Amino acid sequence: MASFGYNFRGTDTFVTDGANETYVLNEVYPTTRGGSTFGWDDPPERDDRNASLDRRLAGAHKHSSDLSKRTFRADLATSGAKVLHLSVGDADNDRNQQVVRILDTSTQVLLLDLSATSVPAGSSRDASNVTRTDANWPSQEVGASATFATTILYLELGSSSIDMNGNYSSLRHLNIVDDAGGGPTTVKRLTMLGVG
Amino acid sequence: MKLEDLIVTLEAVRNLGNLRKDIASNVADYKRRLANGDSVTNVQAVIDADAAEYQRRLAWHDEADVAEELAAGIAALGVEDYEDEKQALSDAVSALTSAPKGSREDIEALDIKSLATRKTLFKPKNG
Repeated sequence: MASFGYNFRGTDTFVTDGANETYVLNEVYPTTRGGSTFGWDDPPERDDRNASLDRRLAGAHKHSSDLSKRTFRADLATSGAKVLHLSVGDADNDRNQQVVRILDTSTQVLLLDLSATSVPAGSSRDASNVTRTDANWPSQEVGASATFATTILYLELGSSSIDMNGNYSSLRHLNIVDDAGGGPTTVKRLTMLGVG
Repeated sequence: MKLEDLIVTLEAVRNLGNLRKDIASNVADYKRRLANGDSVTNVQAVIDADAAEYQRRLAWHDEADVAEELAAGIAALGVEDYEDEKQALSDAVSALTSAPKGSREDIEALDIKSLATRKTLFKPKNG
């Protein structure tokens, strides 16, 4: 099953990425590394947090949003069914209002609207819209399935339509896995999130 | 020249500029992956995937709608060496694709130093 993961942090050597993963720093689209082409439209603030955490949670990119957003683009190898995995939060800081939206070019496939949900420091929201502690996230995080008609994934950090009142939306990890079907147990269908 | 022609031309410039930088920095990344204990097989797969992405990025320039606007932008700006730059990068990708990568020594011997030196892409006719 093909997959590719992006670990958002401040410096490349802070931790070592796993197979089929790469770090994301301040790269603007298009940047190619690790077999993937990706990048921000306008890179947000970047942090290294804790190298002793799982590599996927070690850093974060954050955007202070009052009706504004930063957009990350990843070019997918193929269209079709995918499982999206996310970590949205911060190792050191409470995140009181966040929003992350993922689109298939222009079609929304996932929305984490945390405008009324606090995610405590040392934890993050996964793609199934559940908060996991940093200790539990690596083994318990649950993906969300989505079908891409195109090969362009956009992730919006912050929002131009949901006011976050200047609070940071914080992205730590994104992983896109080809969905072989058959309903793996770690996938929550988007209809359960009220999306799609 | 239309505004859309200029936008596409600027995107093309960024694409080529980033591609030159990516090819050079990724060669260093392959060696770092080996040093970090990644297997030759895995690194070879990453190199092949990168090369495919490079080719896809270069192919974008030739897509019908892009090529038309790009040609108009390049002509209006008087860019003389766009094709040379694109060809140089295409040659580098071909060299990377065909280079032996079956052993640690092969990967460590990859050297595309010429790509590490960024040259000015735009050379206006009277500049």
